[in-house]
Formats: sequence, C-alpha cells, structure tokens
Amino acid sequence: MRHRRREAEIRISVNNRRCHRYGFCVMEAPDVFWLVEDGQLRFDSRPDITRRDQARMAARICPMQAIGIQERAK
Amino acid sequence: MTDLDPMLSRASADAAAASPERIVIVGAGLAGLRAAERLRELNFTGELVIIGAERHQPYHRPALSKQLLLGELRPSDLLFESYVELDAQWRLNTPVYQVDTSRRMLHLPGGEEMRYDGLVIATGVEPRHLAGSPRHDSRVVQLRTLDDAAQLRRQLRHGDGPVVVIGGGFTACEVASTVRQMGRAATIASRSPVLMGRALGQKLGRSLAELHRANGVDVHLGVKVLNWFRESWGMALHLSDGHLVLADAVVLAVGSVPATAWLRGSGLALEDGVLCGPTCHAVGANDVVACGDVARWPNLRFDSTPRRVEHWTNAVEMGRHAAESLLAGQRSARPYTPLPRFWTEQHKTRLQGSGLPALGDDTVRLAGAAEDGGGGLVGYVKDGRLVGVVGREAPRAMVRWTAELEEQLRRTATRAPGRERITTTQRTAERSSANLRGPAADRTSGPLRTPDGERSSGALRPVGAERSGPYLRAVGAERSRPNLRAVGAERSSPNLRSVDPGPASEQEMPPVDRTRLAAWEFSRDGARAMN
Repeated sequence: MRHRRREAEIRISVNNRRCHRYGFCVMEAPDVFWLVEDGQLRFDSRPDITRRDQARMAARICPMQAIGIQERAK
Repeated sequence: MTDLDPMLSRASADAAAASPERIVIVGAGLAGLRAAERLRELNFTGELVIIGAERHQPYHRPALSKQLLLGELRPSDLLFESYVELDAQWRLNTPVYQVDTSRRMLHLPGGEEMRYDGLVIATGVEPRHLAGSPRHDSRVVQLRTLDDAAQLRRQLRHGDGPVVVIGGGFTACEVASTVRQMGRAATIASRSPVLMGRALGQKLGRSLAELHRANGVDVHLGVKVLNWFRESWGMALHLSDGHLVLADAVVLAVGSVPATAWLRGSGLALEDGVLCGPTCHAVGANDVVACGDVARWPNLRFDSTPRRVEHWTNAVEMGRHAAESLLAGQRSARPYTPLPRFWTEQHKTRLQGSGLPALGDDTVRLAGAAEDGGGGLVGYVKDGRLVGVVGREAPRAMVRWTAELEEQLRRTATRAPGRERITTTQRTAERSSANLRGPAADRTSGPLRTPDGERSSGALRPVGAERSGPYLRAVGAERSRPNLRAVGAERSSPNLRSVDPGPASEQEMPPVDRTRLAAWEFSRDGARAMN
C-alpha cells in the first residue's frame, strides 16, 4: 500500500558540501547508505522506521557531520 | 538497539530497580554527550548533569584544524545534534576540582559540593606543553578548543607570512595542509622521525612527509627547537638540524595528555589516563566509568593490554558503551571491544584506517583499492594476524576491508595467538568474495531497486540529475566526471578524489596479497604501483 500508516517516519538528508564520502555511514547503516562505483554516496532518504537506530548511528559517526535525520512520530 | 536487546532490557530493569538518582558526566565533549544520549535511550529517568570546563556546548573538534580555520564553517556549524531528548542540566565553564569516590562527591568552584550516584569521566585530553615555548606570546598558539582556533584565526589574519607547526601528529599535519590551502608558507618541525607514525606506522609515515613536501610544506623531522627569537616583525626558530625558520605564527601541536589533574587523590588508578577494566568501569571505584580520550582500557578484541584510543569515533562508541556499563553495573556489563577507526584529510588526500595499525610488525599490500580509482590499501600484520588496515583514497575498499578485518579478528580471538594465519586458500577466498561483496552489489533488491532493476552505474545518478528512485539520493555530483577517459587519464594524480575506475570485479578481492610492501608512495608512481 502506497500510503500505509506507519508508527513513525524518518527522513535522511546528506549535506553535499560537507560530505567527503569516507563511507563510515556505510559501515554503520549498510541498509541505508552505500558507496557506488564512481565514489558517490547513495542513500535511502526515507528508510523504514526499523532502520532508525542504524541511521542515527551513521549520523553520529559521520566524520564530516553531514547527515541530517528528521523524525516524525505519528 | 535491536542487537543489544537482551543486555539492554536487563540494564533498563536494573536501572529502574536500583534507581540511581543522579548521574554526573564530567566533560562536555563528544564522549560526554554520547554517554548522556545513551543513558536517556536506555530509559534512565533520574537527574542528568553535564559539567564542562569549556564555555561551549559539545562541538566537532576535527573541523577546527580544517573547515573552521579555512572559514568554510562557523563555530555555530560545529555543534552536535542529540537524537533523543537529553533533559540534562548543563554546567558549562565549570571546572571540577576534586572527586571523593568514597562519599560520591564532586568539588566545584566556590565550595560547591555535588553528590552523584553514577559518574562518567569524559574530560578528554589537553594539549601537551612544549618546554621552552613562549606561551605568553599571542603568536604562539595551540589548537585544541574552539577558543584556540579563534585565536589562531585572528593571528593568521594579521599577515600573510609563514606559519610554523611544531609536531607531527594528526593536528600538526592537518594544520600544515590547511595553511598551504590558504596559500601561505608552512613548515612542519617534528621531534619524531616520521609523520603520524603512531597511527600509520613507519613506512606510511615516511610517505606522508613526501605528500607534504610535494605540496610545498617545508618538513623538518627528528628536530627540536633550540632557540626562539621573538621580534616585532615576526619570529625565528632555530632548529636542531641547523635551520633557522621564520614564522608569523607558530602552532604547537606536540600531542596531548589526559586531563586527570582533578582526579588526584580520588583513589582511581591514574596511569596515562583513567585505567579501566574491559567494561569501561574505572579501576578503584564501583559507580564510575570513563570514556573517550581520557580512558585507558583493554580492548579484548585485540589483547589484554590497556590502551588509550584518541580517535574521534572512539569518543562516540565508548561514550555510549560506558553509559550502558554504568547502568548495567560492573557484574553484568559487557566488555567494550570496538574496532577503532580514524580518518584524516591532508592536501585533498583522504586517509582512513581501521583496527590498531600500530600493533602490526609487518605490512602487506591489500587488493581492492582499484575500484576506488587509484587509491592504496595497506594491511598491518602481527604474528600472521591482520590487526589494522589503512587506505588512501579508497573508501569503498575500506568498507569491505573493515568488515573483513572484523571477521578475521573475530575468528582469531577464539584461537591461540599466532595459530591462525592469514591465508589465501580457496576457502578463505570464497568466503571473502561472498562476504566482501559490496553494498552496491547487494542493495539493489527490495525497495531500493532501481527503476530498471539494474545495478549498472548508469542507473545511479547524482543529485540534480535524474533520480533513480523515489527516495534515492546521491552525493558527490560535483566530483563525478562525465568523461571516463579523461578521468582515467588523471587517475595517477595524488590529489585525485572520487573517480570511476570502471566496474569492479569481485575477482579483484583476494583476502591478502602477501607481497611485502616496499614503500607506500603518495607520488604519481605510487598510485600505479599499488594497482
């Protein structure tokens, strides 16, 4: 269902100017972030709420503090 | 926290049962902040007090030597976020004079006494003093705090003359790089014969000096400052190698010492920091944990020798673990066994490491950096066991090798040291290629499938270009080059960042290439030699 009700939602953003693509977020949250062949960082900007803890840990461990997390309780 | 559930529910239950009323965190840096956050995550509902000697809320120190000095970020950009409501009392600009662990009492300025039920020590380190340096001269600065960085920025605005950096560690090297980026002359004068030798080892440390020299830094190694000449027009430093170097400003970055003066007489074991058991509990008290730069503990993942780990990531991870241990209590707490990680960026070259490279008595060249386009990877081996990995411009390979290192350490931890050899057997190779298949290859199934279901790089587009899925984003658009041939031609440049080396093949990932690493060059030739 496209508009399935969820308990809570998280939105991920990455500051493109801050991010230097060290990949620490990939180690912490491999279900949310990944580095692709050309060195770019890809990420799921609306991961499932079950991935909230790993996404938070990625944001905490980011060397450039480039990851933003918005959380909305429903 | 799903992976920690059994321990955490116990910890929470204990917390509720024992109901410690007040936990005081001394040290308002990164480790203290993350400890506070973890305490609330674990449903500690009592009073939480955070005492900091600086007047600032916790901030991102690694940026001081780079983005803040360059003016790319302002002090307000450096403040950390907390991902849970802390509901803490902040006592900033407040030194703690003494602690009485038998009465569980802290002594604060003005005769104030503060009782605690649990204590988290997170006071970090302070810059080491260089004997003979004129610290009363405003042109001679250290770089540990935001206020230090502001003073250095003021000093640098006075002129455009040369800057001398004394020291050879992370801070010294990064400041020298930043000074060059500002278009000014930079000198490194280090007592040590190699740069960043403790983090990188001898061979890489030697190559790092070449990177600095290639970028115009005047590097003097194995030297002391014999004389300081301070004149109105500037300063001159007489080095023990006979050189006289001129300076508008001098940055002292000669290492740091644990900030433990306030713990004298506390009954805690103070030997190069706060000595802790494997769980982060301080030796000599029951309700005290320590974390971050100040803590010295045995990381049982490697061995039983207590060490301090001054890496930034350790402040995050140890702060969190110390909070868990404090709530769990000494008997039920788990050992803290992180895989240390670090990074640095100098002259637009990213270096990053995992494990404890300093333990290695040998280095090996590791495969897999080719996928990152001209990077290099070195493994550090002790008794035939991989104990650390350092990569230059190789983030993707570092993700894989960090996982591999973790796996190898896990396997060897259960065997007698030295029994398990790094092998290139078929079995290991197969397991490695299975385990080390990168996220890019694995993550295309499920909800993250790209529209056409392919995982070719053509389907992965940067921000600003066409998005490949409703919620998929990419970062690094400005670094991708449309023309792969042009990129390939540039690949041997030491400053090259993320480039597309073409599709990575899994056969390029044997576990360890036993070829002895003669030297790890940062030069143009080096990039080719590594691949």
